[in-house]
Amino acid sequence: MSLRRPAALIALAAAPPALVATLAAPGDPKAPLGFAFQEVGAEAGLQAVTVFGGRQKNKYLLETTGTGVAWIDYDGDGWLDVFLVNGTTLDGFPKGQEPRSHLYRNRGDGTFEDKTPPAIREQSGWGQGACVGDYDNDGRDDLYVTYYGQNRLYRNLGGGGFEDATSRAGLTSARTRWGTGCAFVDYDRDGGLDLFAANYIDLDLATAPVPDSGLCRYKGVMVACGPPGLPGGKNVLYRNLGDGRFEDVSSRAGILTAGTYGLGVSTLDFDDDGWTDLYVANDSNPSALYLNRKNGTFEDVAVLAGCAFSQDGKPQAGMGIAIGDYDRSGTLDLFKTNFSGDTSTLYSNSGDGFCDDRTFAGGVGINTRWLGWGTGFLDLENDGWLDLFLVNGHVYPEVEQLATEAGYEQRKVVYRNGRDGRFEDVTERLGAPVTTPRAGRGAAFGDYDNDGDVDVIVSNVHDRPDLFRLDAGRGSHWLLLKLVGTRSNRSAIGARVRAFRGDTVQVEEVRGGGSYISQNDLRVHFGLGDSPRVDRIEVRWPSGLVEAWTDVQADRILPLTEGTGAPAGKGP
Amino acid sequence: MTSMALGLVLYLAAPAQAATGARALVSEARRLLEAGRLDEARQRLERAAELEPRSPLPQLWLGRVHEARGVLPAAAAAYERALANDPELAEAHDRLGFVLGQLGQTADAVGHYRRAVELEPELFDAQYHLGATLWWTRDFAGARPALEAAVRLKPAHAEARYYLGVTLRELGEPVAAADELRRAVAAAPGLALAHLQLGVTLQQLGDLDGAVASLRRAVALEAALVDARNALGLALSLAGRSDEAIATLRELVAQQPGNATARQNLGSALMHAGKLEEAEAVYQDLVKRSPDSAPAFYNLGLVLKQRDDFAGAESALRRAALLDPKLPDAPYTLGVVLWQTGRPGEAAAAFRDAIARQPRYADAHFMLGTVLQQQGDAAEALAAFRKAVEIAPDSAEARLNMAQLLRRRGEGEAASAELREAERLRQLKADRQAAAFAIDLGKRRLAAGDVAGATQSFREAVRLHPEDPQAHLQLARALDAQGEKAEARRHRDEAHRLAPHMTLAQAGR
Repeated sequence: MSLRRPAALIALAAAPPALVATLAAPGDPKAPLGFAFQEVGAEAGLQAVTVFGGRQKNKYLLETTGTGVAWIDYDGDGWLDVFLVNGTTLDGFPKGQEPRSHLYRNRGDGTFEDKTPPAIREQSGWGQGACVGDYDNDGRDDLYVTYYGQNRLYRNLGGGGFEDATSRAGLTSARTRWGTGCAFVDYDRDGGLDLFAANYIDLDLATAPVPDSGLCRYKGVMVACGPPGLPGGKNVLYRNLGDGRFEDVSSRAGILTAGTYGLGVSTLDFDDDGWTDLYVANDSNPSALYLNRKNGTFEDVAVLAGCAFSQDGKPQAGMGIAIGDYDRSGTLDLFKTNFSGDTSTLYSNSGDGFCDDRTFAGGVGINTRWLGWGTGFLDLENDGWLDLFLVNGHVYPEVEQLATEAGYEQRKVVYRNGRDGRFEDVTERLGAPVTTPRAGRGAAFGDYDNDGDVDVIVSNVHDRPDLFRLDAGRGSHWLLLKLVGTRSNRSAIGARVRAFRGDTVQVEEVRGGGSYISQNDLRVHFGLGDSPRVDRIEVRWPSGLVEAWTDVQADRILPLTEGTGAPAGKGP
Repeated sequence: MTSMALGLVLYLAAPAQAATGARALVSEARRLLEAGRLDEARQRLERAAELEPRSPLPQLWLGRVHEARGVLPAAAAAYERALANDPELAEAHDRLGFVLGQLGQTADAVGHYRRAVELEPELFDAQYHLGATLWWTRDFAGARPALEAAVRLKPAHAEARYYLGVTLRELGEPVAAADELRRAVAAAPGLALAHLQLGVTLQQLGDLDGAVASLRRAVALEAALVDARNALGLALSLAGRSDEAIATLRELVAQQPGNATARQNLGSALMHAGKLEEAEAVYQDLVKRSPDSAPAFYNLGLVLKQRDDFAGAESALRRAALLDPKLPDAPYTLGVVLWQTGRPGEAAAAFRDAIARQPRYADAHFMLGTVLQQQGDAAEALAAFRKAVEIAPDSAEARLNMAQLLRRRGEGEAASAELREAERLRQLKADRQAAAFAIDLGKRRLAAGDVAGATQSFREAVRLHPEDPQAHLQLARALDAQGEKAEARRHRDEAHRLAPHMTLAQAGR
């Protein structure tokens, strides 16, 4: 009798794996990279600890997902401020001692001060994600914060003040929902930012099974149950009525599909038709690409377009999203983080409505041990080629019992763009602080010190945030564009920017949401390599207006206001 | 041996005096045989044969005496003489078959068993011997009717039920197999092998708690039953009880350092537990001890792949593929590694190798299609996906990738049809997973006395997967507890319609 059980071993074989360092690293491993990260969170004054569930053991999945973080210039001084979402625990806290979310003002000297306004201080609970946009077009960035419970809309009053406008805006939910990723988006191009929010699980703590039931195990250890077996939360789309109120149009807009365990959300114009689309990373389900049908409705085309599953047709545990034209093909590509035992997924946008899965061909299938959350494309060397930054950390604190290689706290992963369609894992070469293990979750990408490169702030569970200050190589040029809509929404979310330098064309856009339930810098960054000037900047505004600015000097932050450029045709 | 009395009547009829003498001698010889007085028995039978040289019975019993003495060639010769006297004596064919089987002449043995069964279908020994012999040659389809007849003739015969149970499992009927093995265990509670096979079958059915209980019983009955300890380790591992699994298998390895299967399973349990470094150490040790073992290299390749050591995995899998040219899993997994390391051309070759080894390897066809699609060979990719779907029509993944390919080729209608089917299959799988979760939750609620909560869970399971007999049976159980007898009966009937073999005891898994 043979008891080798080849079937079980084959089943394990089917688990998605990766590649070997020698194959992935064509460059000299000892050669200097030309860029580096410094972790400066503590010295910058970002000291607030994110509280989220039990430290050693979690009863519900609710305690595992952590929080997002948002870059927001709430005081309009040109320096990115930080909004750090906070959570709570099942046991709760005595009145007055509840954890609160924090709004840190950027002093412009590399440090931050906690300026959390009363409206935000008043709110505690299971905070999740955050997104930013000027929904009332008053020139001040507003905040939307998702919760397990009731999501909150904070209207920026100016002068550092915010008000909770949730109820007045008609955004009150009749029941407890588990909001996660969100994004402001002007899907109907009426100049007012609408609002999309994903919901993860319709979780009822009174009836949800707990680890002690023995129903849910991870590698033999009893852990929090879900999401499989629990009802999925449904996404929601609110249309901006233009008078400070929103209406739920999920059903008629085609958003209200079956519950799909939505997490990360980002806007993008996938088919480059001038109408903003949405991508949602779903956990344990095919991801969603809501294509804007230009008539107030969306259609989820992810499955047929080839950006819903892994390359071998399996749904993945999607977490975070990065959008960017990494191969400089002129289209916006997608990158998605997933669970451990699986790879992240890289989809190259073919330009004709399809995604080409380039995970393995692109060299990012080499890591399967890490469990990914926040992620973003960023230009590490300002060479004009987008690189990748991944934040990791295990879902279950109980994995510490397993003594496996990848524990609860995990290192980041950094991939450098090889400019040939392939990425190189340079994490080990970077060393600390990138390799320092933390229980990372949300991450937001933005140039907080206005030095021309993109920095990363990371939300860590039961810890203060990390602020990874990037010091890109000297000698490379850059440009940071601050777009201001006039006919379009003021945040210019949905605007598409093309930078022309000789034969080189780079594409970017202003996006709502992004990463893992976080908000990236609303400004548009271009690394320009050795080009001190850009021949032409072309902006296609959400209104449809296309304008150009020529002979633009590099190495500066340039405000571009709709209607001030040279007309350059009309968009779709 | 029920036919023995009948044989005496038939063959000792005439001539009367000699027959009477011979019959008396045979009767006396049988008593002596039973008393272990073999030489005396032989003398009586030789004398009876002299008196009645054309009678088969003295030779038949002489064969039994030789068998008892352990002189098998002499026994075979005696049975052959009996058959020379009466070629249609079923019992002689059976005994000759048995002796030939002992002498390693299996094909001849099977021939005589078959003849015995033809001549006397109600002869239990012949049916049982035929079934068991075919079982040992792994001809389960051939063994099945004989074992079924044996079980019908002697319902309390534990060994016959044991063989039939394993046969049914091997023929892809695990539910019926579990029933049969339960009957074997009931007939002979001390039969460790039956507990072992019941445990293995329950594991196959996904009843891991039941499997662990049966395997523990087997080990308790016969601590030296290595297969039971191996299987127990595996079942514990699959049940998520990693610590117990690893402890069980480590103990076995410590006691039997040369037991390669135990090391394989220990490595597997460590992999399941996520202890990849330790698993690698086990397999590295194993390949040193067994440098010609393809499974050892294969498993080493698997664990290295999981550790993201793809160069090491590639090397081990290539070695496994060379060591066993028939093992399709080695080139298949090698193909996965090559694909993931960005070498689609080599990956396609490896998948083709796997298909050459096992032409109906659906996963290999699917992966070949996936790689070819990536390489832009749409026609070949489509052919590979179609083959995968032909072999495994319930592969949502193959249908999905095929739909994407068809859409890119502008075949929108065909793409939509495949996509609809892929989505249906994917949803079915998700619903079944959710139903299984709801059933587990309901059972735990029922055990905790929460009958209303349990009923709700089982109703949800029935809604998600109306074809799951367990869901109906468990709901019936919960409804019974609530006094909803009529509805409970409806669900019980539905469960029995869906799975006629299933009992509430099984559903209690």
